[in-house]
Amino acid sequence: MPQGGGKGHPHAAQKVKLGELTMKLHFFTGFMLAVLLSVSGFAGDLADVKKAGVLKHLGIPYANFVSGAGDGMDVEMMKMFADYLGVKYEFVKTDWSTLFEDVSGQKVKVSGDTVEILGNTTVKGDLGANGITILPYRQKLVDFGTPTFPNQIWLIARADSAVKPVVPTGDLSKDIAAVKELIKGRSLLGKAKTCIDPSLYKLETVTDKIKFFEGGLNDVAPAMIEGEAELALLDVPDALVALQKWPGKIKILGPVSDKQYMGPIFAKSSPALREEFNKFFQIISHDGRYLSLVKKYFPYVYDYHPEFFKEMK
Amino acid sequence: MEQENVKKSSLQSRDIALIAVSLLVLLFVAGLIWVNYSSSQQIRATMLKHLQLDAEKRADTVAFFFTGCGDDLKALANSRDVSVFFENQALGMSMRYGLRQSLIPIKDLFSKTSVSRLINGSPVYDRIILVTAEDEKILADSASKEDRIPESGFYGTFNKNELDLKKGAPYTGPRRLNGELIITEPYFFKGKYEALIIAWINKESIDKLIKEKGIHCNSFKLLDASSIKNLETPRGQVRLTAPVNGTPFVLEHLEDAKHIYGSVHPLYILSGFAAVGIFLFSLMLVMLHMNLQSKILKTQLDATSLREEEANAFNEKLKEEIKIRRSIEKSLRENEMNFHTFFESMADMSFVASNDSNIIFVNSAALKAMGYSKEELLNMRLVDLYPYDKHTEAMETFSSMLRKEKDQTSLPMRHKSGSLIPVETRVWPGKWNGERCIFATSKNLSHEQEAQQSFEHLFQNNPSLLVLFTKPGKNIVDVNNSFIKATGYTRDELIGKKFRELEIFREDKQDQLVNEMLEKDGHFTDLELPIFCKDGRRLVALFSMETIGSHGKEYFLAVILDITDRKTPECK
Repeated sequence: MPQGGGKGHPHAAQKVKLGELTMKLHFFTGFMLAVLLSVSGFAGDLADVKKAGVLKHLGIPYANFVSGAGDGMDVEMMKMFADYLGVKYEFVKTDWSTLFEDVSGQKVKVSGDTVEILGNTTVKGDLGANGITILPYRQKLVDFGTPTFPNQIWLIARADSAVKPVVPTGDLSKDIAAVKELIKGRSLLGKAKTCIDPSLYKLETVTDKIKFFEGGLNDVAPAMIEGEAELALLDVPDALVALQKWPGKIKILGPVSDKQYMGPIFAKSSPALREEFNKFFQIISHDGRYLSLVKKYFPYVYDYHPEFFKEMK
Repeated sequence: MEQENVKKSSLQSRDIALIAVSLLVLLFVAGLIWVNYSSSQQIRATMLKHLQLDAEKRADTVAFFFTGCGDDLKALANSRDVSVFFENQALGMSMRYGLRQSLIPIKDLFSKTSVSRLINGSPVYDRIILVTAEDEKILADSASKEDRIPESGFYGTFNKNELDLKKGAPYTGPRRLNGELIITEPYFFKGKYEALIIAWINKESIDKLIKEKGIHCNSFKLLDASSIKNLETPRGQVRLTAPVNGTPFVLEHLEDAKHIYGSVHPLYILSGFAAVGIFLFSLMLVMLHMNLQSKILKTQLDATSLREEEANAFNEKLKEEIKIRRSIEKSLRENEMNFHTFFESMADMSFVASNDSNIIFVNSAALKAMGYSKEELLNMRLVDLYPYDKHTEAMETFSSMLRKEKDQTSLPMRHKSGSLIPVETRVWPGKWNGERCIFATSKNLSHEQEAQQSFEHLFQNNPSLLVLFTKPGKNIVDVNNSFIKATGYTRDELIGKKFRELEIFREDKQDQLVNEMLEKDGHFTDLELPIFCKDGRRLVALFSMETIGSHGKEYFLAVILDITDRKTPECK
């Protein structure tokens, strides 16, 4: 937001000129965007999907949302959605670095909560779903559908670590503060541009031993077990899976973030598709199909976030 | 003779008894041998069955063992640790972190499994590995000495020559690999064949299992079922096999035959006894043969004596017969002589001809009547005695008489001069000097014919009225010319008729009177009776009737004198 005061005319004239310029710029930007979109193609909205007869699901093998072997909670849910729309289902594999671009068709630069559009790119799918946390900067890039899964960022450590989990106080902010105390002076493993990016939780202010993991998000927990860092950040679904896969090797120390949610992403140019998904999710979250998927892929999530599923049947 | 028969029959009975006893002894010995052989065979069969059962039991134990091993590998394949590895692989985890961490529990699990199954304290598995189907890399190896999974990841690659993993995928269970016993279990992730778990079975443990206790337990071997078809059983040994269910193996038990049969095979014992039996039987047959030969000789001698006696008796009979025959011949000769004399003495002509009609004998009457010499007649045939034109008729007539269809023939013979001789000839078959022949006698009727002609002349030309009647019936046979002239009838009107019928006698009493007189004496003379002519004239006739014979038949000859003129006044 431009800061400025009304101290003299030159300034006022300057403001008018600037306003005109801004308007012209907006106009130009809008025109260029329209031209570019016509060239690169927007993500298909509902009518385009139905016309094409296929729903392209962009996803990254992650946790139990997308297994990488043809199934996963989000895979099954999107197959149901394709059925609901009366079109075929197609999975399109992508990765975290290009997921949002592949959905929105916009090349962007993210810096904190600031998003800079660098240009356009090819749209590779109609929607994205693989346990994508709803974060403010992401909301600038894409539209999220109704949240489909609860989330939170947890701090984990090796089971044999001397660091002990915080005792829950019932006050989340106090618990987060206690957890941040644990991080102090210790090496912490996170991953940039993901929900476990330590900068999202201002953890760089807590420790200077932050390590940005360069491998896949799924490898964070085993990397910590391997000794890459004393501590690591994991989101709830990943942590629940890690607890199952490496039993007795990791422990949850406590929350680092407030409660978060995960949901499917849509290009901003696909409001009808998003709306249709929301309707669809309303249906399956009340006819038992969604809960059966949750029980199948994340059986322990009820223990941690029962309130999310309270209204569902 | 009777004594001899008794002796003979007692001898035969003794022989039959001897043969029967020999056969019974032979049967008894054969029975003993057979019982011995069948007992040996039964013992052998029982032993074989026992060994087979033992082999099958051991094979079942091995099958059970392999099932246990298979269960171990199935448990590994179904373990969460193996599944996690492939889940993480699908999620794109790196070998440096996620996958390496996933392999650690797998390695631990494999190592624990490899030492968990024991036989008599020895581990069953030499090695258990998890090898990927795609790139044939070993993911986990229980035999690895490294405590920590290296960062490079996989332990090493599997030798492709050892096992075609892609082909091996569907196969679960034990098999042989490069001479070693392995058991495999495929691993499927989300329905896709991803890896194979291979376990090497310790040889000693299998040996311990199959050779555990029991009879001749060291001779058991585990073989591939496909290989036993071409195996030859070594001499002096017995091979028993039992399939190991659910595996491609069979359990082989190679046993020394002497352990089953004893030092001598029952078949050899049977063969030995059989040879002795055959020898004894042959000996008995030879003795029987010799005995039989003696008997045949004796029988032949007896038969010769018997034949001699029979020949003597026959000779006697023959002598008797010769005597009888000579006597018969003598009597025959005498008969022939008599016959000859008889023929010679006959007034009728007698001829004897051979069957082909050649005259072989003629009597003197024939020589005299025919005008031929004896030599001429003996060179003639019977038919030659007849005129040439009558030869055929003579032959047919002879044939009829020989067939007894005709008694005689009046065919006249031909005198040497050519004149005909009235004869009455009879012909019949007979024997002359022992040969079949034809007898012929011909009565010369020349005199009878002459007498007949004279009688005929007298009859016809007699002035008295003469009538010839048949004796019974008194039908007119013939009348003379005087009678025809006197009565006015023609001959034809008279022949065959009676006087009463022709109204020659007009009263029945005339007939009766004649009959009575004839019946009384057979003849009468001078009986006066009226007769009537054809024209009705009455004649007074004096009847005389006499019985006469001609050609063997009797007739009444009536001589009638017409005395009408003498009686005319009376008539008038």
